[in-house]
Amino acid sequence: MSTTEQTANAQLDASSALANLYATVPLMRGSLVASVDGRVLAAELDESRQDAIAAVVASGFALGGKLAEVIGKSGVDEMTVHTDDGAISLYSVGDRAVLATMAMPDANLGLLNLHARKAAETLSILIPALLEGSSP
Amino acid sequence: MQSAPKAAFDFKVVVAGPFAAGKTTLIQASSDIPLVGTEAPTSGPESSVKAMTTVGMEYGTLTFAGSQFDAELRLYGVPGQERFSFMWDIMAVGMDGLFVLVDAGRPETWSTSASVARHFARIAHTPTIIGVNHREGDPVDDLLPDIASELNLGHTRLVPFNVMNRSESRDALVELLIEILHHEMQGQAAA
Repeated sequence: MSTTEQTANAQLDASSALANLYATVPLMRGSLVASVDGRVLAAELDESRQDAIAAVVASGFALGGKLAEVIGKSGVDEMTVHTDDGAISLYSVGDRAVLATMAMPDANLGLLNLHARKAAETLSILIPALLEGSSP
Repeated sequence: MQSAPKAAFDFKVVVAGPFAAGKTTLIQASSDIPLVGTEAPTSGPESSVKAMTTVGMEYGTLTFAGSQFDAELRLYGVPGQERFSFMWDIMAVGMDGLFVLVDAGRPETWSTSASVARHFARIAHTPTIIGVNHREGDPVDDLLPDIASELNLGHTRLVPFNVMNRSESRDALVELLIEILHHEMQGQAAA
């Protein structure tokens, strides 16, 4: 199988992992996978500014990690921003990517957490192929 | 006889410039404290330029003890890529001076240095130095007129230096400190 095929398959698998998450957890807006340097690797999100979101996700997650490190603990697995308009959670996907989930105000965040972590695990296997796809 | 207490200044400086211009290296080279950084592995076309890139911010400090006064520069590095320009806006809050890096060896990035400088100038007019990073022994003086005309930033001074050299890096930042102090004194005189 060629690199291009592997990448295309990984993209399909990543999309279905995100679609699955959306179908399993009620009241989700959508989700997006960004590389740690701020590029979109996959998205299941009705939003035209995906590139901008990926960059902010990467910065935010890096700063969250630094926040933990500066206080003494290194490595961040997850962070959540609560707003009046719902919650945005970021999960590490291996060490090269971040999964961002966006939920509406009444979403069950416990349920989301459970399934988002499972999705992150599935996605982490696909990341090398997804990154390959964005290489020169 | 007791001498008057020395004045102490504390300025926020933003270090900006294109991807891979040497921002992190500059802060690393000149900071008194270990750099607090947020680097991540690059992907896509950028991975062929370098392995790691700043995605959030970085922080370092540089202290000068003078006979008349002490001064501390708080150095905030920002990511270079346009997609992270929202971090430029965040970091520009309360800045006292701007240090924009130009990579003398990559003329194709000069216009990006110019647009970065303009981006910050739209937010706040603060004293600015253009640090022209070049390798040891490069004929940078020959390039300065070309860089100045490409940047087209009026009277903003260009300071050639080598970012790998600790004392040259610190000296380049001293140039910005001098600009900031001038600006402060003008402000006081006007008040």
